[in-house]
Amino acid sequence: MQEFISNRIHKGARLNLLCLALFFGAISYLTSCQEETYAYRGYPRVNTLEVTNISSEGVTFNGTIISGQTAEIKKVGFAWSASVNPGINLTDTTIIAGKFTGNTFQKQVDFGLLKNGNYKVRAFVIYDSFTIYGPVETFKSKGSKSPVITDFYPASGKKGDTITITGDNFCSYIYSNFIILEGNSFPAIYAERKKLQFVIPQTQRSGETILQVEVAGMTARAPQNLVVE
Amino acid sequence: MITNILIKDDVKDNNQERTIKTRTANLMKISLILLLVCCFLSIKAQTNFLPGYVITLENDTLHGLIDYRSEIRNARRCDFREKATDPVREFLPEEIKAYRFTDSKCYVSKWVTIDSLRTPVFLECLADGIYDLFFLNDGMASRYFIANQEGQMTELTNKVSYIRKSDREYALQQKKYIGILKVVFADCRQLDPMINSAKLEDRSLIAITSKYHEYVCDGEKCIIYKKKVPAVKITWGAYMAANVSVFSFSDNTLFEVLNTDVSRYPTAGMLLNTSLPKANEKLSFQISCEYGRAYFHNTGIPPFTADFEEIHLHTSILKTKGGFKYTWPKGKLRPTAMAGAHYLRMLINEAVRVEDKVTFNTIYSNKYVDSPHAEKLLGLNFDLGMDYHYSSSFIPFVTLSIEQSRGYGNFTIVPTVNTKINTLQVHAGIYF
Repeated sequence: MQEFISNRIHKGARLNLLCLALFFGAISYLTSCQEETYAYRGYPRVNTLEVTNISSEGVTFNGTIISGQTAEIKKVGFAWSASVNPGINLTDTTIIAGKFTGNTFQKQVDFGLLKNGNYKVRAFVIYDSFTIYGPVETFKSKGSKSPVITDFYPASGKKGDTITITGDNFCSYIYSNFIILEGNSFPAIYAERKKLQFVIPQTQRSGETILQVEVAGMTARAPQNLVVE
Repeated sequence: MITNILIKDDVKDNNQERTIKTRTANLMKISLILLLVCCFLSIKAQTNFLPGYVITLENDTLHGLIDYRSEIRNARRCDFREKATDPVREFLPEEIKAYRFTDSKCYVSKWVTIDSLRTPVFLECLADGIYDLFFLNDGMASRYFIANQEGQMTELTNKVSYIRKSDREYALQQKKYIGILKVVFADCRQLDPMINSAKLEDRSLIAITSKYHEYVCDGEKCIIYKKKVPAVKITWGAYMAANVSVFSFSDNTLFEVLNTDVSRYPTAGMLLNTSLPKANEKLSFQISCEYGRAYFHNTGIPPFTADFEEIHLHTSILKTKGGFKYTWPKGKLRPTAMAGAHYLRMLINEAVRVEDKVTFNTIYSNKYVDSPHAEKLLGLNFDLGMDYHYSSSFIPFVTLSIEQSRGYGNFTIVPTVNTKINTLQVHAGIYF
């Protein structure tokens, strides 16, 4: 009889322990996160993800398509700025080349970022005739690569002539690049990563002058001087 | 003597039976007070017919079913029917000699003097020996009576008087029952130490009565009828729950247009069930506390602010529930019903509101770390379930719960936003 009671108690205790173990297992499961869902719209919805790989060499921008058709997407990219709402033709922009596949995209940017500068970035998608921007993500830059001037042509020109500079690490937004001639700075008229164009100002003194480009507080000097006729 | 009319058995756990007439009400639409009142009335009206028998004045034994109720009601009347389908016959104390629930409590008809008024009542038999011990709860007080072999009844009293001294009130217990016990058991001085430390309660008085019987009587044993029922019974348990919730905003033109996805999430909790078996074995008060993590998702087109809006809410949920629980008293599978209120605290992990604004052929999506949800919600809950009494210390249960929680949140351009969460919950757990 005693053995029977003892067995019953042990059986009950075992069941209780098992249930408690299940209970605490459940608690640990409950602390896990649940995945977000996103509403479907008639257009692809894009989300700007956290900026990663922030270093003195640049950053990596990340974006994802959270809902909608991706097949019709023409281009994806990122727009960023230290001051205003980022947008294509309004601020620095980088577009990812090639046909977009998958849902996520990223781009390493190693130019045009000011050291300790606070930036806003938006991922964007060009779909049909629409440009769809994701929400703003903010980040603090640790800097980027300096601009480099490898050449410019023509080597001489009159006031009002357009000069083309080749090099690297220029910004795509014209107002982020400053052309400096004898200490006077003015914006470019065309800008892309490896090419800048500017017009020689009417106020420019004739003669040989040093050509410099300033991007994100960093200055590059041309290997030879510009001759203004 | 009681022994002449009642079958002698040790008291075992009661097997209880009743027919249930459940009132179902839509919990979402009525107030807590109304619900609790309805629930209370519903419970109060429940019958609970258990097997038993009645001894008539002619010493005939009628076997059948007797309505088992509270101590107070059992002392006033006996509702009897031979079969479940038969009409109920009501017996008052003058009309029968005694009645007893099979293997359980027995009541005998006696005239007692309460506040100088002789009244017929059914006294609950606690012990049957040389002296008989009886108990009566007349709604005003718990009373004990001791009867000698001639049936002469003496009430064991303990009047308390109050005196005031230096702005303080002192209660003086006169403990008259100790003197009465000493007189009654004067022929057995060995009991004096027990009597001196006696308390006016079942266990102590039964012990003295049966001890006296052991000293004095060499023959039959003293019969103890009293079921060992604790004054307060506390059980605790643990459970897991699957929740299905709909989170919405109301009374507000800005957010009430948002649609809500059904949110499914698990929770786990602990509960504490407190009952007063002496007063009511079926009704208990239960509180529980549970925790879980949920994700709520609202989408829609707000009227003024944006062309599309989406709210993502990742929250931990801490819910404290309290309510009155009714448990069917018989069988291994016992249906339960509970009505009560709860407090829901949302501990927000992340609240993100996304607005899409269309300007010509450009769509800007803007993200804000805010949400108009309430963090503190109050609500009502109504549960229906089933307890499985595998053993007295291991009772698995399943419960289906309907809950509605409401609270007010703040938002920059809208001072108060009414948050509403409707939840359907299925618990599975165990009472230890």
